[in-house]
Amino acid sequence: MNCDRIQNLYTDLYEDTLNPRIKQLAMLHLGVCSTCRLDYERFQEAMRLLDEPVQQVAVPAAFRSQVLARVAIEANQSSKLPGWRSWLQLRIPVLRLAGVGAAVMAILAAAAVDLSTPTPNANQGDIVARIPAPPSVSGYSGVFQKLSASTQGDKTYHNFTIELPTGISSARVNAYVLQDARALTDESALDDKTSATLAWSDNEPLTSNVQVNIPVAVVTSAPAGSTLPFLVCSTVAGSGESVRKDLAFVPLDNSRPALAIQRGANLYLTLQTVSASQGINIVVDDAALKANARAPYAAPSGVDGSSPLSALLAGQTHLAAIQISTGTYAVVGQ
Amino acid sequence: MGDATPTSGRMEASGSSGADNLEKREPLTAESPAGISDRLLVRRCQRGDVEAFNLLVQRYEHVVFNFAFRLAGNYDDANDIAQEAFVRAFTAIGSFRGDAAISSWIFRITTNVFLDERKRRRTRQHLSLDDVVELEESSVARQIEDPAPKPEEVVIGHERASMIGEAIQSLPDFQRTMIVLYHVEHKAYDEIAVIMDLPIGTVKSRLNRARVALKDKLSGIRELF
Repeated sequence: MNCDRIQNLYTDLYEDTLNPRIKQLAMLHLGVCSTCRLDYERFQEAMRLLDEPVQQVAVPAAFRSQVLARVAIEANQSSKLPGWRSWLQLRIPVLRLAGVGAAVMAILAAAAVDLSTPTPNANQGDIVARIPAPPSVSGYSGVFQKLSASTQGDKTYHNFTIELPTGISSARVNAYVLQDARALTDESALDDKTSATLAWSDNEPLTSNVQVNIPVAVVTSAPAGSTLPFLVCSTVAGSGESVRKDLAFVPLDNSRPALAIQRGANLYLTLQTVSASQGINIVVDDAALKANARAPYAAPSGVDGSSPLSALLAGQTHLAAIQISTGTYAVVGQ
Repeated sequence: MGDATPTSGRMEASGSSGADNLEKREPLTAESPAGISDRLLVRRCQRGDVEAFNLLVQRYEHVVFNFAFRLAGNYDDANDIAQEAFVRAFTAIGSFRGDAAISSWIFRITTNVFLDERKRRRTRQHLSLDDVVELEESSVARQIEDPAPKPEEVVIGHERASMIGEAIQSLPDFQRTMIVLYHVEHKAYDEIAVIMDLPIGTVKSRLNRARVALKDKLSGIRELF
């Protein structure tokens, strides 16, 4: 028996399941090798520590209902029942920071959907005169239905009501904080730790009227007069080959001065600039992102970050803007 | 844990048509699930009976959630893992043949969900929840509120428990799973073999390796001895 071999026998020694001859050899070795003897004594101590009782934790109150909601979705999808829809409302509180420049939050949603059977959106808001929708735009079909904010104490809660179209089997929401309001130049920036911080990621139940409290960020310090741009993105992802993505920019502070539109910037950066400059929520649907997100955007001359979306999108044959709720505008693909 | 007592031997032993008739006369309700056997619940789940699955979740949610909690190390991830395990169980229950106890089968799914998730996370860069995001002009501490206690805080409820819990959490995923199954969930070697899909001899050797690794970690904590 040698020192290397005996460690493999600790459990059998402790449980006394060695055959007598091997046990005798092991005991002989422990008798003459103080290093192994001490090591085995520590093993015995560790085993005794593991025998101490373990306190149980309580299952979350909504656990079973959440499981059953997901199961219902699975069952529904497997049976191809039409008309399934699910609502998810997220509450994201972020500390209000007076005197700090505009900050932007964005929600990126990607969901597996049955793209062959799009469902019209019942919650589509009225098209405002300021941002007329082209006749060819039948309506907004993105997942974001309502974006609002409320303040409690020193925190501002941002509420995201998400409606998932028919056929989505699961949802994942990712919340990101970007270190600069202009950091989202491309979707891949979200995977870049130097520019995007994944602040929250979770599967959420897809049942009606569910509110999830998601504390994302707390400002710990900020010099007076500084700018503190945020960008928090959320992804709703499904399984399967079809992946749907939607993006929402939500300003946290409306005091930021208008920013210039960068010529040649892509749709991400352009809309982010507008959102931060005007303090409006902008959501972008899957079709718009697919067709235009990464391509350079040629801003019409004379427009800047304070221009209405319709002016910004003038001449963009594949894009249109509509208002879907107060303070929230959608850029949709045609 | 394990199979509940069947409501009657006749039900379990009867032919399919007779069992079906008896099942139909016995409503499944959340108020009286104790007398319904796992086998009956599984059979009904395999027919797509969501209410039967509700009772199955009710029966195992506590043990599965606690198992996930010991593996994951935090309440939120445990919630994700346990939920996903039950959803996978529902979608795969048609293939459950009943060779093993349903509890072992659910533990196996939970283990796979945990190991899959850990593998997925290793391939993607994630920031620690305690990180402070350094900005140009200020700093932002990401704060994801988790009001639930961590495993090391509730294991025994004091400093020693915390140290033991942290040592277990610091083990590699597979070794942690072995330790939790045996020492926390009190599974026997043959049950762990089913859950981990390993021969019993391999279970014993790997568990020994996990125990030796844990011994090395615990030995460095003087306060424990």
